[in-house]
Amino acid sequence: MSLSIRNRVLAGVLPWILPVVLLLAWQTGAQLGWITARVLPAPTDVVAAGWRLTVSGELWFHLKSSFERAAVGFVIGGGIGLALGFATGLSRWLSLLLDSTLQMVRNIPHLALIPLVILWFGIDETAKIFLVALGSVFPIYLNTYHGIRNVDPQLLEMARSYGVKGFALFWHVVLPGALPSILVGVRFALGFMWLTLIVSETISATDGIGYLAMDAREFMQTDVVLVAILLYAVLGKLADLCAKGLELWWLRWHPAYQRGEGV
Amino acid sequence: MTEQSTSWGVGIRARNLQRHFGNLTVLKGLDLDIRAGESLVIIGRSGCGKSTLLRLLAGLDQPDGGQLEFTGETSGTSDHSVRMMYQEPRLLPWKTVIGNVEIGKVESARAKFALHEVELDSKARHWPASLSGGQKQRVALARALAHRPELLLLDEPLGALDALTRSTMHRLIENLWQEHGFTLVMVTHDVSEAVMLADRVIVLDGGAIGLDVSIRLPRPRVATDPAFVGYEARLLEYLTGVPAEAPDETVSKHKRATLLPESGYLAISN
Ligand SMILES: Nc1ncnc2c1ncn2[C@@H]1O[C@H](COP(=O)(O)OP(=O)(O)O)[C@@H](O)[C@H]1O
Ligand SMILES: [Mg+2]
Repeated sequence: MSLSIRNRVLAGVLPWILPVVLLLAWQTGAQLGWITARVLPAPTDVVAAGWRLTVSGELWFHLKSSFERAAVGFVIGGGIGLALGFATGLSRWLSLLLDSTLQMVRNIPHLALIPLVILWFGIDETAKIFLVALGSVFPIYLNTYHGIRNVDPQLLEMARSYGVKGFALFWHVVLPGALPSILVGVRFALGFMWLTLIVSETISATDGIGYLAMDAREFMQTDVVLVAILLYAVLGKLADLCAKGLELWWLRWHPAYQRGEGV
Repeated sequence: MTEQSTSWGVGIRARNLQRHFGNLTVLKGLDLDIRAGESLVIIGRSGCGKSTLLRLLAGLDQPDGGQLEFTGETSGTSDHSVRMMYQEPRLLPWKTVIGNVEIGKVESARAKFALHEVELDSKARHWPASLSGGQKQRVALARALAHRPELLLLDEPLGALDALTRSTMHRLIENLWQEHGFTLVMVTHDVSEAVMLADRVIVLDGGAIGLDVSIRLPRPRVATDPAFVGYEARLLEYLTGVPAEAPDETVSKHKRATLLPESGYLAISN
């Protein structure tokens, strides 16, 4: 009994030991001058830089730009991926027409298109949104297609024999059946979205977190660079939590997310 | 016997029904008449084509030859309410129990009543994943009942359930059949279940009807009734090809002597 409590406390504490030790070592090293501030400023300096940017409003300004880019790109790319997935998943003919081409195109890493995208759109907003959208299309397309194709045929047969057809069949049977897979696609797409955003903002921008980092690099403000990196990490985590939240709500019927009682 | 009116159920007339899968002939010229409101149980060895026949009756598949038509008083309307219950409950896991019963544009009051009929009112707002196997099949039964079927087809719906749950389900199905008056066609591999529920048992054999036995026992039936045991023995004997060992020789002889003429089974094995 007491042993199990001790084990539980230990299990709660253990994962934190290494980060805390590293953080302390970093702080001590920086304070004692073993690590120069150019390479790695002390954690307290990073926090201070973050606070300074927050107070001056700069942080929110760049955050907003990045967030808008990410959201617009994701909605466009995700929407296209979803539409294509529905089309090929629901129609055998469209699947024959489109799927092999899409499978081929998806093998091109979208970041490899950057030079081409710059040639097409220059280095303005459109180029970044285009890249983010491109990064979100395929994870969502693939998982939507896969999800629809793998809806339990027995359930489809049952629903049809109970007179469910057309849009009702799609809405009540096909879509919910494909949803777990679609949400996996959403999570992958969110990951790609941040990655693409970081790369495209680092290449060229006049605002956004990537710009914040590149601008700080020119003035050798390593602490601000670290703030920008942390911001990306936090935003990535937030996006993932949102996706998880959606799963918890939309898949609450799923045994893996279940607590017994219904709605 | 069956007291319910035959006005609700629909009958079936099948002539020379055929069904092939590649060069495997599953049904070769099957003739079958089912009275409106009758309770017919189909048994037979595994893989003999019971599900295949039921899917034809349900209209899920089309026969490769022969005729299949509905008969009876309501046969004037072309759109018959034929509902099938499968071995698996086939509930939509993302809909609550009541949501599942409402599938196919069923009014919520009727769905509630159907759920009440299978004694699952209390589970209306639960997810299917939280139900036991027997409860899931009862929801599937409620879903079928909510459509007021004229013909209810059951394909080994109790195969996966334990003995106690099965016998509860037998009573439930029998009561609902008597109240609603639909035509009941059920597939089972359990001879005792067949004798419990059937007005008539047919044994599918070699792609046609091998044995056709009317079960003339009053309802509710008791599995320990000697006449009940006699029917069971008769069916088992046909299925296994071995004369059934009766526990008491004298009872057995007596039973078989009386059973043969009165049960009126006829073998139309090809
Ligand atoms: N869709 C199908 N395609 C090919 N063969 C099938 C199909 N459905 C059933 N069969 C075959 O037909 C035979 C009868 O099957 P079935 O009617 O399911 O038997 P059961 O009496 O056990 O329900 C089996 O040999 C089975 O393998
Ligand atoms: Mg079967």
